[in-house]
This record gives sequence, structure tokens and C-alpha cells, in this order.
Amino acid sequence: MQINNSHPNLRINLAGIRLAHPFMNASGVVSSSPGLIRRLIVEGGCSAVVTKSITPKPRLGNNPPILVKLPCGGYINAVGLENPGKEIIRSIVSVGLELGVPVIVSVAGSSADEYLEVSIEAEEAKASAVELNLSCPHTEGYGLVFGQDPEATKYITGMVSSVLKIPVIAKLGPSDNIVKIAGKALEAGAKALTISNTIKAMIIDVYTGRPVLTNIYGGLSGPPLHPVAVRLIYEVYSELEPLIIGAGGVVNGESALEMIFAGASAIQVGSAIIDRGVVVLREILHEFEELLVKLEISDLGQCVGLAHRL
Amino acid sequence: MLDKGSMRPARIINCTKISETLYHVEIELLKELPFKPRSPQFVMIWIPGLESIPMSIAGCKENLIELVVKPVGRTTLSLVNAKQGETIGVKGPLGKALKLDGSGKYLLVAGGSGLAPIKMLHEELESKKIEHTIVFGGRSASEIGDISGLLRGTCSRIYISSDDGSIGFKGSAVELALRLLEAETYTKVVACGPKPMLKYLAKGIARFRDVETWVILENMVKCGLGVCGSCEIDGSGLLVCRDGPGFLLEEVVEWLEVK
Repeated sequence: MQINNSHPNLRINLAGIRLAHPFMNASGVVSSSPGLIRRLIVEGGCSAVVTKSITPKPRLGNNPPILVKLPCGGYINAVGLENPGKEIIRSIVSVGLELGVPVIVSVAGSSADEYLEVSIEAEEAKASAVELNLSCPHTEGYGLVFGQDPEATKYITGMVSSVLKIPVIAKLGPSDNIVKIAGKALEAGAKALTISNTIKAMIIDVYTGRPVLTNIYGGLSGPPLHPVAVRLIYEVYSELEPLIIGAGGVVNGESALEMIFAGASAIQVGSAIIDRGVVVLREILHEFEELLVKLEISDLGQCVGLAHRL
Repeated sequence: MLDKGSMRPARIINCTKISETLYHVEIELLKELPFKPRSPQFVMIWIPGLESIPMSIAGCKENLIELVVKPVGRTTLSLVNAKQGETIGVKGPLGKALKLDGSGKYLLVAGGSGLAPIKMLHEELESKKIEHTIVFGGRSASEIGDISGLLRGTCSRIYISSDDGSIGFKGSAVELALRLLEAETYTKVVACGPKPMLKYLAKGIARFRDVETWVILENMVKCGLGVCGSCEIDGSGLLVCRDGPGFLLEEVVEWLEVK
């Protein structure tokens, strides 16, 4: 349906969450407090905001260096799930409620019970959805250990989905087994998938011979991750056609549309915020809209997964 | 390509004790910075095997950067005890630079290692021939040491204060600064030091309504690039590493607990 050529229809319905456009922040980037969430909405114009991953109790995270820019243009981080614990959820969600923007609470835990505990708190606080972080690569015993295992993914997603009324989104990281893992998450009740997370990586300082990150391992993000994320989204969409939120190295309108063509319905932006501030979300949205006009696409819904139909 | 968020190799080339509590450390960068730093920008200094810590830049000339270090923990102790030539990592320059007016008269107030960004600012004001006064305070003469050797210039005066009166004005740097504000006209005040000092300044300076006051904050900085939120000024959404570390006093006065 063509509405207006100069303003393509960017609205999407993400498992019942109505979004004015596809762009939101990626979890972990300036999203750990009510004040920062407010900036993402007011300055960045996010259509939804995703909190930093929250565990039941506060976590201190790793010691620095925890974030380094790479010569290839991406970042490596090992923040270590630093977060203020579930007590912060109500005050963060209330900012979204006040400003009329959906808040997706990212949830992490060291067991299925912990995922459930935080998810229940999110629902009670009136969050719009939870995103289960099943793929954090830099905190031992959290995230990746579950997300690389199809049965653990199914168990945790199933436990949370069976209790919550709000949509459960599973955030999956890079894996050669992604289709199987995605299938298990959907089977267990996930209404959407966030693909991808950072990919486990490390850097060594050649002048001293030491790993740079205190945690040794971190997660690679930014443009070097983008083609990997596009591949993961493409593979999953081609087999399962689920609702997908694409994440990984989106820095402009073109890199966002590439993910949409691969099968994503919405986009999360992380590393570009580090480079250019939260205002980059508005810039990418603007570029994206102009690109759709140029390509004569009047409705975003038309082009989700387009690359599979040509 | 390396940018401000990258880790650059560097070598410690000199470390001089300037007072009982402060050291002047010079670092040679093996790869140049992406742009010339300006006060109060900072770097994250990584001591391999230990962690990385935020340090204000106290001076910069080509590939040399200067720091003023107060050893308080394992990493700062290791920095001042490092062997000449030891390799470290440097990430930066981080944070925002202060915008300097071409005219007016500045009053710079420093306590302890708060001297670092004040020294850098002093050098920028000197190069622009902008008149300014520096007040540096410590507990006693031994804490003041030889700091005036670091602050040479032709457009500036230096005042020293000590709590015990063993050198200069007897009292705090803030008390001395407030006296100077009563006696002379200044357009801008820039202060850096421990939180109680800034809190005291905020209280005392409220009556000088025409003076624009900037405070340079120290807070726990971890990522240095505005991602992790560790350095947020409680509840404000302001990040010391990205929005600061220099703030207009009005922006942070609540955090300094004076309201």
C-alpha cells in the first residue's frame, strides 16, 4: 500500500509492540539508568529502548580495560554485565511510560531461575517485553553458556515464556548452529529473536605480549560484525521466518536496510552510538528513510526478507 | 586506523616527585594521538598486568604527554614506580575540551592531583595571552612542594594556600579563591580537586552571580567512551567521560549536595 512517496511507512508491529520506526539502541550501550534511557529517547529518538542486561543482584563487572576501538573499525568490549540489579527496573521503565516509548528489559542470569526472577520484575514494572541475553561472550557462567546450547536455550526461554504475558525475545549470538538454536527458542515460546550479539574475541598488545582486556576475552562489535550478523539473520529467516531484530554493526541507512532485506523487521544500534553519540540513531533513521524513497519502497513491511524472494 | 578509543603503545620516560604526595610523569607515545588534547581532556592509562585508570592530561607537546599522579592505589603506585622506558598503553584523548573565551580573566583553583587539568588549562591560556590567576592548595608546605616550577608563564599569578599555614595563605584553596573574587573581577572560575573542595566552592561562590563557574570532576571511569554508565553523575544521565569531565557548576550542583 503506497501512502506517500516522500514518507515511507516505517511503522512496525513487533509481537504486539507498536514501533514508530525500526530503530532502537542495542542493550548495554548507555542504557543502565533512568537518566541514560531518557537521553536515548529524547536525543536519539529511539522507537523503543533496550536496557542494559539486568541480573537479580547488582554486579560490578570487569576491571578496565573493558572497551577498546580496533584498527579494523569495530570495538571489543568486556564490560562484564555490570548492572545495578533488578531494583532499577521500575525507575527505568517509568521513563518509557512517561515518554510513551516501549521499554524492552534485557535480562541476564546464571540460571533459569534468575532469568525468570528478573523477567517477572520487568513484567510487573510494565515493561513492553523482555529480551533474554543468551549470548553474552565475556562473563563466565552467563549468557553464552546457555545460548550456544539448543536445549538450554529452549529450557530458559520456555520457563520465562510460560510465566510471562508480555512478549519474550531471545537474543542469540553468532553460531554455526544458529538455525537449530533459533528453532528451539521459538518452539519454547519466544515471539521474536534478536540476532546477533557480539562475537567472542580477544586482542593482544604486541609491545608487551599481554592480552589487552583484563578479562582476556571480550565481544567484537561494530562494522566487522555486520556481514556475520547479516548471514545469521538470512539463515534463520530462510528456514523459520520469525520476527527478527537485527543487531551488529549497523552504522547507516544502507547497513540497516541490508539487515531488513536479510529478514529483520527492526534494528538495534550499538557501536555507532559509541562513535557518534545517541544522535546517530536519528541520523541513521533519516538516511534509511531517504534510501527507501530512492528505492521507491513505500512500506517497510514490503521489504522484510526481500533478498529471499528475488 | 587508530582513533581516540584505541589503545596506543607508549613509554614512561620520566617521573619526578614534585611534592610529598604528587609526581610529575612524562610519557612518550609511540603512535601519535588522533588530535591535540585540550584541558580537561583525559586519557586511560593501561599498566599491562594491572588495570587501566583515567588520568587528566597535564600537558602535551608533540608525542609527549604529562600527567600529575597522586599514588593512592595499586595502579597509580605502579605508574610512579615504573622503570624508565617501561611500556604502557594510552587510550584518548577522551572527554570534552573547555571552550575558551578570547577575553576576560580566569581564576583557576586546584587541590591535590586536580592540578593536572589546571596546569594544562594554564598553558592554553598562556599561549592565548589570556590573563589568569592560579590558586593551588594543600594541607602543608610538603604537599605543595615544587609545583610553581610546573606553572611558568607571563600572563599568570600563582597563589599558594596551606591548611596549617606552613606556606602561603593559611586556609583552603577555596577560601583564598573567594577572597580573590571579592578583591578582583574575574569572568570565569575553573576548579578541580576533591569533591569536598568543589562542594565548598559551590556554596561559597553562589553570591558571585556574574562569574561563570566550571568544575572538573573525578569519578570512576571504566570504558571512557560513554558506554558502560559507570561514571554517570547520579541520576542525571550526564557521563563524566563523555559529557565532561568539565561541567558548568549549575549542571552538577545537586550532585555536589549543596541544594
